[in-house]
Amino acid sequence: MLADAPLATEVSAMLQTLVVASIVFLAAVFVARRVVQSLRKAKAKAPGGCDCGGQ
Amino acid sequence: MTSLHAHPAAPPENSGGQNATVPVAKDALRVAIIGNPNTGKTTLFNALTGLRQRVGNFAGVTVERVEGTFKGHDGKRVVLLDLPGSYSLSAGSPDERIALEVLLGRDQDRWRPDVVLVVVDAVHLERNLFLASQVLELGIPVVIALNQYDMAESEGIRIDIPALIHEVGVPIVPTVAMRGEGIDPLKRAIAIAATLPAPARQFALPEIADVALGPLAECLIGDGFAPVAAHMEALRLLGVEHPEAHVARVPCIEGSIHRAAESLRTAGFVPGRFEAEVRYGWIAQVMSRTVTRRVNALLTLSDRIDAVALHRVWGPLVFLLLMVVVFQAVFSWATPLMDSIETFIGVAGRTIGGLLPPGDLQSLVVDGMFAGVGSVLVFLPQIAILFAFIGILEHSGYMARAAFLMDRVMRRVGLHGKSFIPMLSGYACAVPGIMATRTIEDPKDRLATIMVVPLMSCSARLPVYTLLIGAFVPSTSVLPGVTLQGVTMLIMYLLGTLVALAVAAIFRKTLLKGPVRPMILELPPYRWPSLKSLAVSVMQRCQLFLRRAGTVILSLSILLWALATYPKSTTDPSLSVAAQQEQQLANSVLGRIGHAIEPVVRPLGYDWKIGVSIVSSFAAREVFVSTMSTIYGVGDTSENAQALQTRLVEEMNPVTGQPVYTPLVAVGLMVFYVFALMCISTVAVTVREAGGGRIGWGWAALQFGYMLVLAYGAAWMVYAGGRALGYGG
Repeated sequence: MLADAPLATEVSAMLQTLVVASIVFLAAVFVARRVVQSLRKAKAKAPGGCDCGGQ
Repeated sequence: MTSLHAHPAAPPENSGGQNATVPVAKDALRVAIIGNPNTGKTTLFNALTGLRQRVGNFAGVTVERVEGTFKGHDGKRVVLLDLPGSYSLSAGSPDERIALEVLLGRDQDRWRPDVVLVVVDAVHLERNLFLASQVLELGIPVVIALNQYDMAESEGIRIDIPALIHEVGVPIVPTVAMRGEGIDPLKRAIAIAATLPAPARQFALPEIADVALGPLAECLIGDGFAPVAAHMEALRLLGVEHPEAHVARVPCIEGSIHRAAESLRTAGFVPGRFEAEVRYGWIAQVMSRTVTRRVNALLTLSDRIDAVALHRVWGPLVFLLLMVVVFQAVFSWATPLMDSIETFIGVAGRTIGGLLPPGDLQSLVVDGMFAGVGSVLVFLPQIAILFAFIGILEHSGYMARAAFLMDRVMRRVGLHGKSFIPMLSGYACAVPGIMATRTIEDPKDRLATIMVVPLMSCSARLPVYTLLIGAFVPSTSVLPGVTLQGVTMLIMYLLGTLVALAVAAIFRKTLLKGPVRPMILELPPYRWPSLKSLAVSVMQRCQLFLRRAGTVILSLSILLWALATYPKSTTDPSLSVAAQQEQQLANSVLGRIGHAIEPVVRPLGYDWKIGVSIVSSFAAREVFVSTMSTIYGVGDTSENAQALQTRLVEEMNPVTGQPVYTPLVAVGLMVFYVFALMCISTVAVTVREAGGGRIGWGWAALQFGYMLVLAYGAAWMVYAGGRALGYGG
């Protein structure tokens, strides 16, 4: 059992890294999606649109 | 081209992704509901359809389209379409244009109603009958719901309904939508109306006008308009500056309008006022035959309050006093609740952190998630208190008085009085504020308002103000019950508002030059706010805040934690733990970005940590607080918002040994946040509402740019000016 302790610590550390990396990845995907959604919304035209451009 | 004779209407064509047209069974009855704003139209819509609703957009545009269904009196399915609130069919604003196009069967969905339900406010019958008189001439069966009938009675207004039905020529049903009264008779009337012939104009025009408008009506009939609707359109077009899209492409239209207007002018009429004169002339006759009034005590009380609230001198003072009370309450009442939330988050963070083995995962949960989200969540009580006050002012009827007081100021800077409501909504969030500009008819007025709405201090700025005021402004009493902290908060809000007005004036004198139009404002009687609706509006605001904290703020906090933690660097073990953490942070991605931008923020008195917090808050303003919390929290599991304030006060510059945050830096930072446009959603909504495409992006870029220059310039002036005056820093 004693011989397994460093291995267990290493596995635990690897698992932790994996969980952290997954959480950070998901957060990055969520933020990227929100940005894309905002840009898509910007593409839609408002009612009547303001035709003041070029003033 | 769709003939308006097509009846029953053709099935809806789904013109692409955006609309929410309910698939209609062939035998279903289509009913469009229309009314002036504030008539209880939406409440009536909800009372009729319950939860059987579907929300989307009108095809091709972003005006919200709500459709609902209910089982009619005769068992037939009824599809009800809620049209945007309109004072008339004169199609001044984009919302009104949509209503007109649907009623004429000329919207992109070709959704032509079988019956139109006009909601009329019984208290303001005279004004509401204008829209009704236009709808009566569309060649579609009409039912009128005389809503808020109880209020009319309590205000001493007696309406002879049989006489009114006789005068108007369509079924009229008194309703109280709030209590669900009159709903069954209304359903019955809708079923009956569908079997009746469509009504027609209830008054005759002077013969000369009939002759003058004849060729214009013929021109429209030639383009497929039903004869009845064409005569309504001919009369309406006389008062319209430029024909709208649905008629502009009719070849003979411009010339016909011009000739009709000339003939009327020769006969001694003013063409622009002609429609209003003839319709209100008829309405005056109807009112004299059907409505009686008695003087009401409630109105007298409102009048007595208004003598002070709208007084030239006392009015603005009362307004200012109310604002002082609001901001003081935001500060002092929220403290106990904030302390409780803070303690709870601290305990929860430590407990969950304690369950995890020491390492990156523990740091992510405690320093990233709990510190980041928790630092923003503690401001929930302040948001709730602020919106409870705004709700009380709105529901009591005071807000309309505030709009009246502000109209004088608005007109002086070249804005329309209607701009006040979008600007007021901007205190909550710039996104609904910018969307509320759709009620403004003039495109230049509308655009000028869009450009300045984000200068109003939104709720996302509140955490930034509170953090800095709480840390650097003493709570000394300036007046009985009023502290310097509350006054500072008020000054930040006023600063944004005053600069918004100044910027609007500049826009209206340069890029968006044009005449100022007068505003007609209805002042409702004062009433006690309903606790239920107040609670609902506060709850909705809190839910939005929580949802944002749990999604956007959480994700950004996690990303910022990762940027502040990696790459791992070897630190000097001879240093103290705090110094090692500082070294690690400085070598992280966030630290390197911070050091790279430090020269840009240095003139404002900021160090790299403030610089990087500002950059991260370009996604959302509250992220400034959570970034601060993450930066100061990495490696320290005992942090919370209160400790963050302490950390800010104690933070020393390692080179000079002087405090990083002086009151001058803090005030400069708040001023920066008053002016800077740091919100992706606002940029997106400005692009869309300013016309989309290249033009929309152009206006959004201008908005972002001028606000950034203003923020940087003002923060620099505060810092450099303060130092020059010897305030240190």
